[in-house]
Amino acid sequence: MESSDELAVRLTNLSREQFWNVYEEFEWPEALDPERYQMQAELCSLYGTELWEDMTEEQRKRLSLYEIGNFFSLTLQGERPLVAGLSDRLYSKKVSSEATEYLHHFIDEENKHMIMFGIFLNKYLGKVYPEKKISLGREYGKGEEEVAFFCKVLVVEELGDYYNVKMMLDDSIEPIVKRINWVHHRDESRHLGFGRRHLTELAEHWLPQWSDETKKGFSDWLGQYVRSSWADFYNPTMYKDAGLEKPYDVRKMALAHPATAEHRAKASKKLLNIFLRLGLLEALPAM
Amino acid sequence: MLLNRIASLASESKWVSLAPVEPLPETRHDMEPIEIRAQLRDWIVEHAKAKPGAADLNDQTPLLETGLLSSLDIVEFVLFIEELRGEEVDTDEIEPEVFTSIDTLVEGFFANAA
Ligand SMILES: [Fe+2]
Ligand SMILES: [Fe+2]
Repeated sequence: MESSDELAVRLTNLSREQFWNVYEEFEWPEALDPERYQMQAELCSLYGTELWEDMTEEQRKRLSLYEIGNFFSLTLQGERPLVAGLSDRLYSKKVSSEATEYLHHFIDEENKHMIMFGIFLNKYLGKVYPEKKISLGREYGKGEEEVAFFCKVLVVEELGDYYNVKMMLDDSIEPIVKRINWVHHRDESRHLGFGRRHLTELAEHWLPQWSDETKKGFSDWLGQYVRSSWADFYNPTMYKDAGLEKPYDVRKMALAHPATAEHRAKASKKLLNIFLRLGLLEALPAM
Repeated sequence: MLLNRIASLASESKWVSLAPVEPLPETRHDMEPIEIRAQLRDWIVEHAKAKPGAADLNDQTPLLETGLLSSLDIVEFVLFIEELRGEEVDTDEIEPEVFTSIDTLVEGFFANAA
């Protein structure tokens, strides 16, 4: 099997071959076509609920604009700490020199993604949805912080990629949205390859050194982290912007609805299986 | 522009309205401080019920050092505070210290009511 350093070298070469310019990659239309769905209907957070059934086609399309806005905002907000954490590891003992070389491309590509999402959001929504997270800091056992960081990377990238892959093949949605999803996936497939391999090595290194209590604590945290990442898809401000009444109740209803739980379970299957296989999750968390 | 077009389309159509799941007090802006404190306390107790000390919570109990509130609860809690005060919270403008206790929460988020 290819070693992780060999993988890093191969990915570095691929990133160099596919090096792209974010300012030349897109032709930004003057406005989005309101006759189209901006985000695929099946991916909208209310899809499958009674509320969705009661909405008119116009209302659904209007919601889909704010849904894609929320999805791109979540991705962008997830990329900020990702870039900070990766930069922190450059030239450090935490990663090999081959990995450092690749991380330069990882960071470069994530920076371009933030520019790309930022242009879209400012141009068509006039804003980026802020995150409501506040970092409280936490005490970590040996190796936990390193493993937790690459788990978070995998959560944002795996969940995002599920949506990217669905939308990059959909001709019915707005073409610029389709294109952004395609461009994002092109880089993400490499990031995911690196992230999965790196996390596997970290887990193999650290898990045998953790007590059962530490493992249990980590598994509980990780399950909650995945759940809270999903909850961000049900943004009350997005519902309010789309003109829905009682946006906080809409969020609660949608999060508790069996149809959306089924969607979350399906979309997180790959991610959760990786965590289970590595022993980072002890059991499947409830969705 | 698109947004205007969508907005005008939308204003012509009827709004979907949901039956409230659990109606909150109607008068959010002029809610009594005592009611705000009770609502905050109930939320924390409900979300931390498995943790030691949740039952003895008072308005000075440290929420962070005791672990009654964790990083992963914060987003949900901030959204609850927004709902309670009828106004969004700009997390860029708040310091984590505001989550120290119910007293600091009331001071930080409900200054008008306190
Ligand atoms: Fe990205
Ligand atoms: Fe990425």
